[in-house]
Amino acid sequence: MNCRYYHYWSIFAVFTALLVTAIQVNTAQADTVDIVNKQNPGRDQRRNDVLVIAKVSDNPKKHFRYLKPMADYLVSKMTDLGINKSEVLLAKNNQQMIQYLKAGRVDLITESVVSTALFAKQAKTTPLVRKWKNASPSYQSLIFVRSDSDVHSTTGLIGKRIALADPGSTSAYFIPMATLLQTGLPVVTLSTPHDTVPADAVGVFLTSSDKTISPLVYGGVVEAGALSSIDWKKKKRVPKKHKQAYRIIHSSHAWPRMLESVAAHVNKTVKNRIKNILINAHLDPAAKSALYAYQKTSKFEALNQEDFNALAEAEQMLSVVNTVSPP
Amino acid sequence: MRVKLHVRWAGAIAILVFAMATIVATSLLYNFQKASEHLTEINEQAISKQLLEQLQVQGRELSAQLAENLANPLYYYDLHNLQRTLTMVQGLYHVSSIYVFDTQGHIVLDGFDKETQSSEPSLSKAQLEAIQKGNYWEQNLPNQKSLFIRPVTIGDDVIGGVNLVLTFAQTQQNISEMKRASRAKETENLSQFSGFAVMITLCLVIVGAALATAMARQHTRPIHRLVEFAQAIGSRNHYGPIMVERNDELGDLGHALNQMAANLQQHTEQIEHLAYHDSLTQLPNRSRFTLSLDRAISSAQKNQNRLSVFCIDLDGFKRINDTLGHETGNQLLKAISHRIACKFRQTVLFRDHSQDENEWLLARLGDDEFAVFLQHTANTMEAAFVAQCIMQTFTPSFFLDDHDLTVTASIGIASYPENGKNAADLLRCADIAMYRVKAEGKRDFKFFSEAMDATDNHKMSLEADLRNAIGLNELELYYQPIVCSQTGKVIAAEALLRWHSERHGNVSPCEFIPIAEECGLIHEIGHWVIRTAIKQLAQWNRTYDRHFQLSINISGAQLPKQGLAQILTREIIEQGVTPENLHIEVTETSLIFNKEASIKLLDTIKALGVKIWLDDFGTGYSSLSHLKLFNVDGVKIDRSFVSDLEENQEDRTLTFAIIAMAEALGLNVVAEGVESMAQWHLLAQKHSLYLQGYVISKALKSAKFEQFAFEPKNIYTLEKVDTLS
Repeated sequence: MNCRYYHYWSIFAVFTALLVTAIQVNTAQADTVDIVNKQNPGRDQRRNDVLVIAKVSDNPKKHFRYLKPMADYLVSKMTDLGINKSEVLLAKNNQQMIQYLKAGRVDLITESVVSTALFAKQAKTTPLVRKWKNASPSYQSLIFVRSDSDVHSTTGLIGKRIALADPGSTSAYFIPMATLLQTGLPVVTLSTPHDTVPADAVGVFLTSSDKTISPLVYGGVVEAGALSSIDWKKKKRVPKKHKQAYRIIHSSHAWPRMLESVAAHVNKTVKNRIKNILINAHLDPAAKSALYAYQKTSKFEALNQEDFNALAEAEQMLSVVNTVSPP
Repeated sequence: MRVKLHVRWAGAIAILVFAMATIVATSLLYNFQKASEHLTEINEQAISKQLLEQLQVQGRELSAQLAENLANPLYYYDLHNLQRTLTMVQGLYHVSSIYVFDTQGHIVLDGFDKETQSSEPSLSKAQLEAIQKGNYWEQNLPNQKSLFIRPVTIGDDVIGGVNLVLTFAQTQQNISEMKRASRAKETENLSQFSGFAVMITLCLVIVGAALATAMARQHTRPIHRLVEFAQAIGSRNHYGPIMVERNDELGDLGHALNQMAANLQQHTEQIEHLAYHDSLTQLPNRSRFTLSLDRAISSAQKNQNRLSVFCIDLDGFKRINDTLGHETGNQLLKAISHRIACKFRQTVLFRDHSQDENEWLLARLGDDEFAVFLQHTANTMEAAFVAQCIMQTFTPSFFLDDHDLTVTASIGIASYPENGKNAADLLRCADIAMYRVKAEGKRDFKFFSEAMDATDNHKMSLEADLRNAIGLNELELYYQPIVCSQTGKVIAAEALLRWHSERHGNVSPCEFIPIAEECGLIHEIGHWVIRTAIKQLAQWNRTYDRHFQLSINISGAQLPKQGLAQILTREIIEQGVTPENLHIEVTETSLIFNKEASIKLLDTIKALGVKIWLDDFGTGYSSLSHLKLFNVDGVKIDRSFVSDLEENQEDRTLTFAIIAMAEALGLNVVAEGVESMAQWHLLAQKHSLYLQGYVISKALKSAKFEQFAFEPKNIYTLEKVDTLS
């Protein structure tokens, strides 16, 4: 007789599980559209005893966890400077970050080379060190087609479709887009991958995630795709079967992965201190966990010429990409 | 209504089984229902508890998940995504209210804002403080609601919170529905179980009744046999034994019945013997004789044989009984029956059918009445021979208790097929024939004839009318004069009874007196005669002649009656007659069978002064010793002597001898039946005596007698006799 109630329980449990999953998925896929741009009242006043690390993030909860240990580590090394408190501030987009920077609410930011170039230009930030992310200081952007494709170069993409990631991605959107534009290829943004591509332009289809790029190419929905050299090596991104069917038609030069910048208002003493701490962090056992949390950072390096060149190139690319295809 | 045992048994067991099954089923049902209800209740409580606990868990999980998912949108104040998240939740049926608030407790977004005002109050201070410290708040609310408040954090920073209220109303409703469903199922189960129980009960009852019937039949079968046996015993068809090979009570009953049957058979045989046999002689009685005779008649009819029935009546047995006592009488009867039986055995021994068991049968029909039938009597001659043989058995006389008893018998014979076709008819005919012998002098045998039957019928008719004769004044006394042989003077008269029957005319005393004696009317009639005669005598003594005498005949049947002397005394005194004028006439034969009693009676009568005369003297024993013994006053010479007086020398001598002897003894003599003057003359020659007869006068009516006797011209003298002659 009791067995009839198990149905209730199982239905109840399954329903609850589905509900929780639905909430998670829904939240994860939610667009970060700004409805109300409202300042957090607790962060209005800039205080000298607080160090604020910031980052543009679509998932503040995740990135807070990444950044906070590093912020704490830095503060622990800066008490002598009267800085004894750390804060993490996350911005939902470049615009907000620029506002934060201009308002003096942010001390240290960690961003890609493109964003670093943008904030340096717009908010006068100063690039400080290069971050080794996942044991690699740099990466490349790759454009690939199926081996059986008749496309052999970027110019061959005329009248074809290419799948790129969202505009926040450096290697899967910004660099390939800039490459296409700088090559002089007209670009048409497609709302669906089945839209007709003009014969004299390259049809660009932006996917919500760089995870879908390889399947689109492999399935023949689009003729080409772009990925970072790091993702190219990941089997999750590009399965072995796919990779064997691909042919790389374009590979960019190496780009630094992440750059740490300090805000314009940060004084020289603090700036130098931060630079020193970061460059020596990989030598400090106390920094080990903070480094790992800080997007699996191996170490920080002082900027070299290549880095500055890359920044300059990025700044140049920004103007091209922004004029042709505003995000 | 008759209900058989096995039906009762089966019925009782069926009812018992039904009752037990019903009780068991009912108690099972009751307990099942109870247990079911109890189980349901426990289940419901457990489920309710679990559901509620589950809901609590769900509230915690849901609020935790919400706090997690709301962190990013809340961080950026992404109200669109906040709204989407809350919308997902508010669609859940058990969510009563939900809203998101910031670190100051201000509501950022109310999930129910657009449709209903949130019924929940804003956060209390304690709640807010708890949330600000990053703590979880859970609280049960009235109306089956629970409050779950969770802080929303980014890292360790609390950026706000989510307030969730869940209601259990729907859950309660679900539980109620579940209860209803459960109850419905329970009822269904119960009804199924009831049906099952009813079926089982019916099956049990049917099987039980069938088994009981079978068992009962097994037990009642010997009972039926015993009942049939008992009925057979009851109707005397069968006395068993019955075989009941059982070791139980029925076996005992069978044995008891067998024993009872054996006893009953013995008793029945004894009773039958008693019923069909005479206890004295051990001879068959009338019933048995009638039955056997009927069988013999059937046999005779079949074989076309003749058959004779002999009705044997002892002559004068009553006197022997009266004088010598019943004991002697009984011994005599036994001796007689023994002799007759022996005689028959001897007689039959020489016949062709001697081996036939039913060839003959001797029975005692009544006191001194025997009957015997004999088959294969070829003709009347043979029957007569047999009758003769029977007669012979009475000689020599029987010597019992120092008494030498001479007994004779009267035998009536009736034959099949001439005289009747059944036992009753044949017996009646033989009886009639026997009575005829009795009437005609006894010690003889006669064959029945149709004429006898007519006589007998006439006799019956006479007897019937005779009973009324006195009342109807049909009886009358006639008086025959008695004269002195010397003077011719009427000195006396004999009163003679006459019956003028309206139907039969004048009936002779010879005819009706024996009937009166047989049926006992003689006493009444005798009394009437005595009274009437004495009255007449008194009148004549008063009126005409105070010495005139009147004689009355007393029947032998009257003598044993002790009342006779009293009657005479009373009448003599009442009428005032001189006793010496009254004469009593008795016959010698009537006295001789009961001598002592007769002597005593006669002495008593004589003591009154009444004279005793011996009537019909000369015909019977004519014993001189009797004359002395009975102390009589006179004798009346029988008419048979007087009638042949002239022609028969012997009679004449005998008559004169009697007269001489009487004279010598000092007795008076009356000669009866004097019908001629010659007779008178002869009688009057030598002796002085009294005469009576037609030559003087026949019996006359009272008035005529007075004329004849008491007028002087009618005095008869010798001279006148001479003249007349």
